[in-house]
Amino acid sequence: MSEFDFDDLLTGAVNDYREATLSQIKPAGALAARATATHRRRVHMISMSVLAAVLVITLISAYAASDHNHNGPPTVATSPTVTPTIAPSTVGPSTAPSTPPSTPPSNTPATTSVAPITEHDLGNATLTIPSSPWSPGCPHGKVKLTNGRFVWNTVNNLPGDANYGLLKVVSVDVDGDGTKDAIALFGCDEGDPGMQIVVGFDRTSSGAIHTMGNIVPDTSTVLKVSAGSGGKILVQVSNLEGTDGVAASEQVVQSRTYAWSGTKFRQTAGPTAFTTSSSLSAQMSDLTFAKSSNGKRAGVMTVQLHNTGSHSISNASVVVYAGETIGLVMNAGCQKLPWDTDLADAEVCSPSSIAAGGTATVTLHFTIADDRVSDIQHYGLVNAQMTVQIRVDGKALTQQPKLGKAVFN
Amino acid sequence: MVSLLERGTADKVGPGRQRASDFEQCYSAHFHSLTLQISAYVGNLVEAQDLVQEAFTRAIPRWDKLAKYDDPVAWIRRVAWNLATSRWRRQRTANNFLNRQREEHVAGPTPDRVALAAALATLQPALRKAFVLHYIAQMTIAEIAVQEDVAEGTVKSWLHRGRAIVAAYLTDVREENRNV
Repeated sequence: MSEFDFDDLLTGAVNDYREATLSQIKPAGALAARATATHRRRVHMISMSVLAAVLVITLISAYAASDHNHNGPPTVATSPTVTPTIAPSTVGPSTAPSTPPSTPPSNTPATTSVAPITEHDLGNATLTIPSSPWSPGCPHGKVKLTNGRFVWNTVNNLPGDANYGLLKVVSVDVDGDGTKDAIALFGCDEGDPGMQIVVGFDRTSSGAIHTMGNIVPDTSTVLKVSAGSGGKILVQVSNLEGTDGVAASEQVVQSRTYAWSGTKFRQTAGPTAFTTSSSLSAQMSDLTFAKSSNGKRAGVMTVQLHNTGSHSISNASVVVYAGETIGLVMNAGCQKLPWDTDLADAEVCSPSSIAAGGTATVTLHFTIADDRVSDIQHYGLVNAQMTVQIRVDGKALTQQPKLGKAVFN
Repeated sequence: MVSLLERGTADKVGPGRQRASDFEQCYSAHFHSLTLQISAYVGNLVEAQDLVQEAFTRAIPRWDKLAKYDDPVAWIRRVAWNLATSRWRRQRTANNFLNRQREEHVAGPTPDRVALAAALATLQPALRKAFVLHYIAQMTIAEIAVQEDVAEGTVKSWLHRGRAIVAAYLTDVREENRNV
């Protein structure tokens, strides 16, 4: 086949495809997009409002309790729980205790004939799902599922265009009774981003499905759920705040472990907060671009990390996302973010250990097309969605350095 | 090489890109062309429409910022393409299955549409994306290289291999039709 025939064949196929397809496209419309976006914003705001209200109530309760008991004996918590830690007031310990649950599972499995709960069982039942202030978009109360999907209009506040469902079921004998319980991950595709909730279920002696409780009560983004050893539940969570590149690259992804305490699920290992206060401080240089070469300019920026504490820091990292206008070059000592960030072509750079009082420098290289230079000159790096985030121990610093400016030679 | 570009309907990037300061205008100007691209990539028109609609929906909260860009649709295009290969898409596809049973279905694909779609389905994702961006989105090799953050030689290689596979497939189909 000649080159002409070759191109003629492809041209014909592409044109046929174009003509045949264009007439079939039926846009939902800009108004529909606006309606969906408005609805998501509303759900997101409700989420934040409910969370804020819960926090206020918690703080008021704590204050009232301390005020009324300041002359009495200290109150000893009988069932310590992991509470959500909100930036930037993270001052307490941020790692879960490694002690076992207060009520460990029985070592002697009870003899039982109760059948394990299958995914089919959960996906075709009326379940009691606990509410979560972090995931108000998720249905709660008595909720009916059919084929793994929440049936519409069975929950009072269930919007008509929602996509809810059972995403995964993991079988774990969390209470040591010899029968595997079901750990269910539900997706509630409302808000921006969507929400997830993880709930444990077991069976009553009569065989009915019983709700044990919400396993991850302090975040709305659950990426993975799997079975650990000894009845533990391994969960990968994140603090994703949106579905754009900045949010995706700034999300902190963590692995946490949960176990049944006899009355509720408790976190037993892994970080309990997404942010941390650290003795590490950071300072960024301007992003300086060289003169144009072959229609592009190379740029370089440095991030200086200074350890002001008395102990070395061995696990600092710098996450960088260049945005949509500037290109990020793969830098030495860096790697692409290891999780599926959907939108973010981002890198994480890990300097070697920083001694007490010492400094480490991370050098980042970028590129920009000549015809995008005016965009950066006009809007600046922040508006171009560039972001640089400093982390220690897999948590984001509560005080992040500010981006400098773009300089074009 | 004979130009395969058909001007006027595609979502084109580059120096001639259009400033779309109004969301509705941008939507009506680019929905079809973006859907055309994504449909060729995912091989499903209804799903492609969902993905492009989602990309436009995600643009709304940040439209004030995007509208100031020379090429606001570049962000939407990037989101649509990322959605086409993302975890979100895989979940959404499953979630939307039941909903689709209630929707008005578009007419079935024509044989012509099937031919190219079937040929593209045989390509590896990188080759398929390069083919779609070049022949359907009408992007130049240099533009694809910048967008995909690869060397132009890599794009040329992708296109060379993709073209050969698609052409061979289409030739086989043509021969089969002659023999029927």
